[in-house]
This record gives sequence, C-alpha cells and structure tokens, in this order.
Amino acid sequence: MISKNTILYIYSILCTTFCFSQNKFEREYRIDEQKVPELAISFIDSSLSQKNIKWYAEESQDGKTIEAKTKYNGNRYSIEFDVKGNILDVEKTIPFKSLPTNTQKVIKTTLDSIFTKHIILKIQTQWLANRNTLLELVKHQSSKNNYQTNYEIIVKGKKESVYLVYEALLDQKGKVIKLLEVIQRSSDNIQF
Amino acid sequence: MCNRYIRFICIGIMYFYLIHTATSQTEFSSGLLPEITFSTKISDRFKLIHAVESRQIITDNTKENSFNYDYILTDFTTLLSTKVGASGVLNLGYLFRVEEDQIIHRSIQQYNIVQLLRRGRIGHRVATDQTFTNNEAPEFRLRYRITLEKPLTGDEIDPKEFYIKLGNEYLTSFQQDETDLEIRILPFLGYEINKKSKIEIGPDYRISGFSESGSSHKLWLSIGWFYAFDTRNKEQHTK
Repeated sequence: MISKNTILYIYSILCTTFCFSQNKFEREYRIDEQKVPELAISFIDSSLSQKNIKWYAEESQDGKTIEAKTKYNGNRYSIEFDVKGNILDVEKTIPFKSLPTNTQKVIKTTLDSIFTKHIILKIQTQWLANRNTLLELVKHQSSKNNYQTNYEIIVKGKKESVYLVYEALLDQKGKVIKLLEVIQRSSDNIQF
Repeated sequence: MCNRYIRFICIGIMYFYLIHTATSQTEFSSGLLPEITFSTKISDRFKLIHAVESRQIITDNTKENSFNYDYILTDFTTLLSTKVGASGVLNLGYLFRVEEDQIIHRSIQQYNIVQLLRRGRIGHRVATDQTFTNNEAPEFRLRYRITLEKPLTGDEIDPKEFYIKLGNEYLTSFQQDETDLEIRILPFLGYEINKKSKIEIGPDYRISGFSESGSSHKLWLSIGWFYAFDTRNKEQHTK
C-alpha cells in the first residue's frame, strides 16, 4: 500500500515542478486561414503567387502575432503581422554565401569581434518598411522607396572557451542591434 | 492534431501486434519501464544528470505462468556531462543497479552530437559501458543510437505541445567468449510540459540473441519524465 507520506512527497515534487514552470512563455502554433485577419491575407495574395502558405500564431509576454511561412522562388519566407493584420516585418532565409561579398565581410567582422570562433547556423534578411514597400520587396526583391535591411543570424559562438547558440540582429553596417543567448531546449531526452 | 496523434498510436499498436504474432515462437517478455531524469546545469560547460529507472515485467513466455507481474530491478545513474567543441557532448558516469539481492556496477562513457534541423533535431550517441558483478565475468558493450525528434505542431517544440521521438539503437556486447547484438526500436510520443520539463511514452522494443538458436524479444512500455534545472541567472532569450 502507498503510504500517506509517499503521496504527499510525490504531490510536493509535482507542485515544485509547476511552480518552476512560470518562466518566459513563448509558443507558436498552426492556425487555420479563417482565423487570419483579412489584411494579412490580402498582403500575401498580392505579394506571393502561390497557395502553399502555413499560418501560425505566436504568443509571448510581448503579445500575440500572426506569421505566414512559405517557400517562394527557392527561399523560405516568414512574414509577421500584428493581430489586426498590419505587417510588422518580412524575413527571408538565405544562404550566407548568397549575400554580397561586402555584406559577408561586414557580418564576419562583427561576429569575429564578439566571438573567438563562430559557426553560422541560419541567416535571415529582415526587411522593415511600410506595407507597399514590403509588397514590392517580396515581389521584386528591391524597391526605390526607403526601407531598412537587417540580418537576423543564429550563430554558434565561442566565448570564454564555451560554444553557445546566440541570436544576433545586425544592421547593414554590421552594428549589433540585438544579441541574445538562445536557451536551447534541453536535449537530455535525446542524449541519455 | 488529435487525428495525427490517434493515427500514431494505432500504427504503433498494429506494429507491435504484428511483431508479437511473428515472434510468438521465440522468447518474448514485456513490461513497464518508468524513468525519471533530472539534470542540473552547473556552468555553461558542465551538467550533472541523475536518472532512476525501474523494470517491471508483466508477461514472459518462458515461464509457466506467462502473465505474472514481477518487479525486476532499479537503476540509479549519475553522469557528468561536458561540452566538447562546437557540437559534441561527452558524458562520463556510473550506474548502480539493484537486482534482487545483487548489486551491479557499470561505468559509462558517451559521446553525443545533436544536429538542429529546420523542424526538429537529430541526436547521435556513441557509447561504451563496462558492467561488473560478483558472480559473472565483466561485460563490455559498444552502442550507437540515432534519435529523431520532430514537433507535431509548428516548426519548434513549444510548451504544451506534443512531439514524436523516433530512436534506433544497436548494441554489441562482449562477455568472456560470448558476443551478442541487440537492436532497439524506440518510437515515443512526447509532451513538452514547459521549457524545463517533458514527458515521453512509447514502446521500447528490443531484439537480441541473434547468435543463439532462438532470438529474444522484449517489449517495454517506457514512461519517462525529464526535468532540467538551470542554476544560471542571466538575461537570455528562449527559443
């Protein structure tokens, strides 16, 4: 028979677990197109000539956003909207070597100044502009209007003799806008 | 999502029913394999892992009364884990097994590589271990396991989401003049409770005895709970 003390012990462990769980909340999940604001759908319909769009909602302490993900002309796009459907930014995953040589150099110099060694895992071009300019950028990859290009880089970097994964946001001149360590999901379940 | 989940379970049940039918002439046993794993990050480089795993048998066709619940053993494992290079992890540890009135000691060495995919990740583990008991010759094992983990929703596994974990392991063992091969198939369904805690359930199917006249099949229902403590206190971004 399980004693009362054993039950209390198990219960206290479970309570401790759920108390510890109150940390930063970030969740991405698929949503149906019917739940996507009309403004967001019209942006996608006007910019990308294809049907294979996956819609996601992302919830965090900062609020909720809607994201459209698709592969278009060989590149993976991630287009982010607020809950009303107003566009926030467009991100395009690209191979590092496809960037202009000068941009590659600028990024490399910045990363070299932060890390003793680094490996780029993923790089995305981030475009920030008004709706019409972003439409033009997605359609034609360029625009005569004003827009800002940043680079969001997931990098495995070595600092103080340890490699950790970081998310770096750099502007076109290589200035660091944001640098955060990415806490990896625990891999205990695939290691032990 | 729910339909995918039900389909996954149905395929699993059918798969193991077929295996059980096909192997009814050989040694077959099944049971429960509950496991709790705690890990504590002590620095950016080092981590301590503690695991407790128990085995309870429910069916065994080599016994007269094949349906009979029996507790078999409990393993207590402690590993010290350290990062090696950009992607490698080296684990060194010790397992203490309590089996009936016997105590079994095992030293463990593991090398892991975890590769991040666009959706999910793959883990490779190469391991060796040495088992010592009072009344048997030492046993030496060499093993390789590949594990694929994929979210069932979205591109990443977020809290309160299900995922699948498919594992395949090959173990060769050497004891005195005997060698054997064991193959393990591990299709698990996981649930991420939060960023630190996850549970996994699924069959742990093991085939061994290839060098003998009849092979041995073991089917465990594995139920695992993983909890990761992180004692560091930094401003970080969760992904």
